[in-house]
Amino acid sequence: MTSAEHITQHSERGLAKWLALTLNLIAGSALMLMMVITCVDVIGRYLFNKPLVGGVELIEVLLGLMIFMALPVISWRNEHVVVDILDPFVSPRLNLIRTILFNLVTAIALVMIGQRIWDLGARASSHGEVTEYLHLPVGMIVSFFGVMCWFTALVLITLGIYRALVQYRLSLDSATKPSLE
Amino acid sequence: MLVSLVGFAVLLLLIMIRMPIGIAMGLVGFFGFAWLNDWNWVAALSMSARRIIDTSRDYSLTVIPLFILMGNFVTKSGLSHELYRASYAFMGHLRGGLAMATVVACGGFSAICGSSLATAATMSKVSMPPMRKYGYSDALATASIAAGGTLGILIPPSVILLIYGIMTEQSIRELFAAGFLPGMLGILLYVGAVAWTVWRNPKAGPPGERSTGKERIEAMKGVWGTLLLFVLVIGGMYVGAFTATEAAGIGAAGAFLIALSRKSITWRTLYEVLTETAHTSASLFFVVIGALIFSNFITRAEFPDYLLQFVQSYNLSPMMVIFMILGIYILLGCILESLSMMLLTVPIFYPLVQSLGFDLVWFGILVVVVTEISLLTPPVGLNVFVLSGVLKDVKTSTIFKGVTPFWIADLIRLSLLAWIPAISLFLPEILYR
Amino acid sequence: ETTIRVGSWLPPAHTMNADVLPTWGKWIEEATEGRVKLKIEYPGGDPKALLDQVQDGAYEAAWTFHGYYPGRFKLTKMVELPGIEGGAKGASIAHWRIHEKYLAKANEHEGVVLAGLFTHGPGQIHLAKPIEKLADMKGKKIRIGGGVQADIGKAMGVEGVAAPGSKVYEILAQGVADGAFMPMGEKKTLRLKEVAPFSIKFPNGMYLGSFMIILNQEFMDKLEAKDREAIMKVSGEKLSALAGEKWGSEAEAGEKDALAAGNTIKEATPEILAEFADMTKDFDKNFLDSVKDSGVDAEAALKEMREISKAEGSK
Ligand code: NA
Ligand code: NA
Repeated sequence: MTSAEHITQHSERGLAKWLALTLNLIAGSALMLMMVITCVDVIGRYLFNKPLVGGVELIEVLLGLMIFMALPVISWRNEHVVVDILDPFVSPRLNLIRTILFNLVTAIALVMIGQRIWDLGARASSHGEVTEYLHLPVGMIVSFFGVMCWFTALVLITLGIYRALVQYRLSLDSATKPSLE
Repeated sequence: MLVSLVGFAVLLLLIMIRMPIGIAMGLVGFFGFAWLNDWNWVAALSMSARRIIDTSRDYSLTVIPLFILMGNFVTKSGLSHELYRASYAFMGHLRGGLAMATVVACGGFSAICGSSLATAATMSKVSMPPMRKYGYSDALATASIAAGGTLGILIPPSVILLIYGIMTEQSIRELFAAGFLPGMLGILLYVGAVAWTVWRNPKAGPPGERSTGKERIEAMKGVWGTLLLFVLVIGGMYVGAFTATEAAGIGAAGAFLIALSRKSITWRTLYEVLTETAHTSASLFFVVIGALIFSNFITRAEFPDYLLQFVQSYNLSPMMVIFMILGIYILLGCILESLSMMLLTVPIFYPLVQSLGFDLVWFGILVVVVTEISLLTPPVGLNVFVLSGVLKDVKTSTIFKGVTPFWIADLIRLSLLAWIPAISLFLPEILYR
Repeated sequence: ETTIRVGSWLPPAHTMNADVLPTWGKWIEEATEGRVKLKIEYPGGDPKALLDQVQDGAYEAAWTFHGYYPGRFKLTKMVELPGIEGGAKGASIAHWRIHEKYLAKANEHEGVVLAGLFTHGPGQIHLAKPIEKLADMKGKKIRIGGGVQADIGKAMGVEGVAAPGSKVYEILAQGVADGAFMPMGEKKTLRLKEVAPFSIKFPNGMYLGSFMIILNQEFMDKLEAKDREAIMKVSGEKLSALAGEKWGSEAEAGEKDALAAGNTIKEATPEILAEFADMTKDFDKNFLDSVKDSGVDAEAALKEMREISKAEGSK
């Protein structure tokens, strides 16, 4: 087991575990559907000379859904792409402070940008914008992105910080005990 | 000019202290843009918000999750074993043959998988035990995996090339076609590096047993499904049967069917593959979004214009500029890994390269090859780290030592590609232009 | 000294970036005695983001396509309807005048200052393989943009393929689409001549495409009154006419270039025109129904638009 999986096991119980499962299931299903729709579209085109009308629009919505369902989980688990060149020189305590600080900064940024995204969604709704083929309401899709930004900010300052604390505690334990495994 | 330099310095600092790259690029881009816009916060927020909204529902970007999904299904279906077995059947009896087989199997695996790290991690589990059994030196064994793994981002499909194409608005199809021959050249030169190593030190790679013709046919049977998938997906894209996005969708579905037929997919592994793909893709999307916000700032700061003026005022020849850029990449490669290196630099360099009249598809291949080199350069050589992570008993320094001939092979390849653009552009030319 | 940063798209060599915007910039600089300048910026990414970004001040100006916002711009579709004579220039002038007289009060461009309205050259059919009559279009996979062309596609019974303009070459080269609806200029600018060497040319096009040039409201409010007036003086109808004229010449240049490359450009025969008229006979009525609630006398506006366009286009 990698140390990240180890920390996940120790920091995700009860609500957090179910939340991760739910979000992952939705994101995963959206991904699977993207794959299926793409194939149906291609097969329809080649075998039946009938592409799937509006398939592209559906895939676009699913892509957004997948990304914004995954965003909270990768944020609290700290699965973002990072440069970890200096990690060997960072003490567990400094690492804890850093994680908390970055989580706060990211949460504030997400609250601000989420507000703007929400506003742009409301603007599109007020003008009655829809997608070309399926007439899906553009404003609602955009506003949903904004809501997920806020939700991510919330889990960053709760689950994210809790996870950092668990990691800190485990690293202190492992300093006294011979091994994590 | 000053603003962009300050911005770049702050950005480097933030990512060095481990702020997520996407967030760091987004924040610096946001504040820089606001600075150059008379601190108009609404404008900067709106610019960033639109980047998030548009990138998250951009149809052409679905290639990223779908190609990653294909790679993850293939990884789960145990294909790496069979690829290795097939390469071994043909090359195992040569001196250093197992290491050569490793390089070839890595090339084959990377033809399906879009990621270098995944290629290195997967192949290490497969090819390390037999090489140890035949008494290969740890240095050669691990180096051939680490180097072979870097091929994953050049031989299509490649996540790095995809992201380069998105950043520079180049055709994904042409980029994928352009990566093919340089990837083959890479395999060839790496096999050469193995040969050179065992010529210097025959004990590093003793020959294995020769396979019979029957064994070779048997071994080929295990890989035909994958070869078929590759021909269907990449070939279908090359000859123009599908767009890159469609190829990715078909490829993912095909890999899923292969995995199903081998009974290597359960509900649990399906959940794991989908979740892992969604997470990897989402984290890539946020890096791309951050880089796009940052590039809005760089454009507003007119930094590419300054660079061009600088180049012109010193009367540098265009080729000289390319070599300077490549030199900067190799230096950056010492401290950064591939994706962050590319995202940080491409918004800055590509307008310059374009205005000097170079082909951006060709430049993309150069960037990817130099990025591959960064995966092997100390102190931060990510593929080397992955290997020493998977093989706990091998020291990083051992791998770095073994990697040196491969590293030199890469430099030779880089110079060839820089001097002879046709190696990269031949396929896109005859296929599409 | 103030700078108007125009968020733009399409390649720098396209007439919009090489002629229209620079000329507008020169006019503005002259009219404001050098106090206001114009600079083109290419943000990349989706051009439909530009409307929001001008409204919020990320760019002082931009241009974009009304068809990117289905559901929002209903009245501007008027200029895209079949049967508008006068080419891009005539239609662009008519577009602006009718907007001022009738459409402005519906306030579809709420939140930004409208600086110009124009259309691209007449929209034609471009195909990889020739056809004899319009009925042969049925079932073909055609790349269609937004706006009236989507309605034409439905009326013809083609299978619409959605793709951004920059991808049209690729999907045609790959056989993902059999053809595209586009103006003749794209034969050259998007290299359609290589992948769709057969075209059917309608004298006034099947449709037109409606574009806006917009300015940020706060930026304009902050300017001195004399500069604001000076800018508006060289915008509006003058700018619309310029844009229309240049896009019109782009279409002609594209046609010439395609012919030189050995393309076949077939003039629509009387039979084809009759087929087309039959397919689109309800278009005016459907359009008028869709804007019933806008509080604009759209019927009178459409009639007048056709007259102005025809008159201006023949000048
Ligand atoms: Na690959
Ligand atoms: Na490195």
